[in-house]
Amino acid sequence: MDFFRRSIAKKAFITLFIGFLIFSVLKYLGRDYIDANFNGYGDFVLYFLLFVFAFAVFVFIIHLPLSKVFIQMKALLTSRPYKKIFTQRVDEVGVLAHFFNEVTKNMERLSLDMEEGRRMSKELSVGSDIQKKILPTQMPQIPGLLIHGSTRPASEVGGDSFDINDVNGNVYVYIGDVTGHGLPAGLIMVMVNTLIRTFSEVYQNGYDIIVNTNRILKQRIEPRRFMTCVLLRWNLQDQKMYYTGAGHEHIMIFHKKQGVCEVKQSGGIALGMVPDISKIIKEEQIPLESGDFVILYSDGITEAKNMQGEMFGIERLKNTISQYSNANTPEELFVNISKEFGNFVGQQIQADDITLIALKKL
Amino acid sequence: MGLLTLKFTTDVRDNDYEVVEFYGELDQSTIGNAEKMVFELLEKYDRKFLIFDFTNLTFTNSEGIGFIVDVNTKLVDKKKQLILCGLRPNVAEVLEAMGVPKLFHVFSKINEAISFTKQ
Repeated sequence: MDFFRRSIAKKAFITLFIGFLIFSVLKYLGRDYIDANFNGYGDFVLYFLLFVFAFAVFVFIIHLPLSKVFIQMKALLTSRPYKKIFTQRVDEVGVLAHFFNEVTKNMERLSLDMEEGRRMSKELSVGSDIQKKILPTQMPQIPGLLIHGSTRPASEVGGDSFDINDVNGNVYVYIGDVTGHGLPAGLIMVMVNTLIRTFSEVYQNGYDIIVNTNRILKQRIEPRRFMTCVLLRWNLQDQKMYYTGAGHEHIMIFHKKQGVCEVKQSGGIALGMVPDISKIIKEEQIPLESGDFVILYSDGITEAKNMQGEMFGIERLKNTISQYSNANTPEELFVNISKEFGNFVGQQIQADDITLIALKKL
Repeated sequence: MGLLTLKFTTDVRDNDYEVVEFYGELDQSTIGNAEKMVFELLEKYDRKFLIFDFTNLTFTNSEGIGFIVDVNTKLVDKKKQLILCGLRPNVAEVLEAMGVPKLFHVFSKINEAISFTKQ
């Protein structure tokens, strides 16, 4: 009965019932007058009036309120401008009107969200382009050294970075990995990239470059953000390689003569953790002989999982390097490691940015 | 996706420290939960030391370390100390690689960490 109380049928029923009562009373009281004036067509006239009354009830109580809703629905369906339906009714027409208002409100919100999403996506795409432009696209010719490297972000903008910079008799190669990934990591990556490139034009060694990069970076990032990094310095004159570690993953060195892959801790402390790292880090030499490989990587490689949830790991990377150590160029080694990595992770979604750099001493 | 449970233990006889035991993995998928619980604790934290017991922490990565460094920064601001203990070899390796042990007192067992708070 609750349904009937709020129903359009109730209004129509009451109106028709009142109309029928009036009709009955009129018919009873005015029967002599009707018979006298309508020549025996009195009943017809009364029934005609009753029909007109019932039709009016249908038009005013059902048709007109419904058509008010249907006009707006039609406008919506035909992509024409529609309006909100104002009503106090709580019957079927009221429910329809509220439903229409709610649906259109949600559609408008969704449309705005989509518009905002498109705008953000466009901005991310621009950010991604800016980041790609600061990453090396072509490997430079370096006397005594061959190099190949690449990075692949997990989303539009990544926190992994690498660069190769030939300046003042040294070639600097660095790999960096900012905590997390995405836009916040990408912004820090761009900052560090600029700082390292700038300081490599000011200082002549990795130690000063890293200490000063950290000094500036620490003042500009929140405490939980930091960047691990390894900076290699290839001195063109003495043909020796030096490294400065800042809390990054291990450095893998394949010694051709011994046929051994050395896993070396990069040492130091991640950039952005403490204001002064001058007493924590140091630049050291990596003794290399002709044919030796040096491999730098980010944790996106070693922490990548396959479909069974197993990690690629340091040991697998080390074994893969040893397996393909007869590669003629670092590019060949890079491609083979990438293939092994791809076979391992299969269809698993890339969860973190990945970077791999291979160098070979000629 | 990893799982992480935190257990907070207070020694009623000692007002110097509180121990947070980590069970599971501390990475990007579990950090939100850890942050919520630990940061809530830090808001009114009035003890001298906070001990993170990693005996049952099976995995962490750079994002987990970001969280630990963040907690440490908040404690240092309040002139308090964070102590780490019970690191498994794989967790210790990640922390060492990033140079984190240079920032904190790290002990192999919880009782060693507690003894340190008495010195």
